[in-house]
Amino acid sequence: MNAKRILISLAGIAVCCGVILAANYGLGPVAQQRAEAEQLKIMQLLTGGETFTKQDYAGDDENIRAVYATETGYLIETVTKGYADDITMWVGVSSEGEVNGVMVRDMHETAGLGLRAFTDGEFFIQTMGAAGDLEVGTNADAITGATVTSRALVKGINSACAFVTGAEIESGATEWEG
Amino acid sequence: MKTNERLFSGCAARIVCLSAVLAVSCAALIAAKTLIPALILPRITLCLLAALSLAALWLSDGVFGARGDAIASVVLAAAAFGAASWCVGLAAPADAAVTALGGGAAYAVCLLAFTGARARIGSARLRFPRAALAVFAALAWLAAQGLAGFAVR
Repeated sequence: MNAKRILISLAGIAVCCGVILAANYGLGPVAQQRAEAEQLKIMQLLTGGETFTKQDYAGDDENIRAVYATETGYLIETVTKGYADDITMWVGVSSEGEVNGVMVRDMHETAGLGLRAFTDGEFFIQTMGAAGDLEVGTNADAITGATVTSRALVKGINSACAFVTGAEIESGATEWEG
Repeated sequence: MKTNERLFSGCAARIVCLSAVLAVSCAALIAAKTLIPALILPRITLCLLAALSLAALWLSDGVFGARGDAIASVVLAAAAFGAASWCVGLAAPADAAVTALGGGAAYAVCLLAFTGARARIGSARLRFPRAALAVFAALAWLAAQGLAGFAVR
């Protein structure tokens, strides 16, 4: 083994890291600015509000990660356990506890099945106006072939509504059976 | 100069090519995240690490003809994966070590398979051996899809 080859290898790794760090340093501020502007736009769309104030959440619901208060109600970030991994959602809830808008922010479900939640408008349309009483199989139809994912999404929506209405809700793991 | 005395051979060629692939991939990721803020990044899975390894191996072994130094290549590849994932911000420093282990394992398996394929293709005297190696790399990546659910981070 040639020591010079190892040094060349390490130099290659260093150059690679330098390029990545330079790209991060150069584009990082722009990316953050655009991300914040996009987030604000989404928050306004989901709630109808204009300005948002982050509130501290000290409740027991494990599904709720962040709460933002706005003029028309709340925007609540929920994280529930899906089929493959956690599903992060933003749920816009009015002051009366009804769903105004829902958007999946992060998920890694099965392609072609649970991942269809990104584009399945019919599923989310049925959640509009709900007040935390959704149940897959009863008053909410699941995404075809993605029952567990659907239950996880509904669990997040119900948690968000329960935050506003003060209803008691179980924040356990997503059910797989039944 | 004899082949085994060239500096840009063995682990040097492999790691430089892997570093180039990682740099291009990570820079493209950062640019995409800047232009599309709502973009959801994929998890770092064994499948993704295998894809990057196969691309780098095709470049280093197929195009530049790197040979030997397998152990050094695997160790340095692990370091490259860990460093790149930390620099791009996909993994915290502690998680970068896990990514390094996963990347090293994926690279080792791909190197083993690629070396065997290269020997077979070399003995077959094909007209376009590099194209044949590229096809093998693509098929190997399809086979690695079976590991798509195993997230490293």
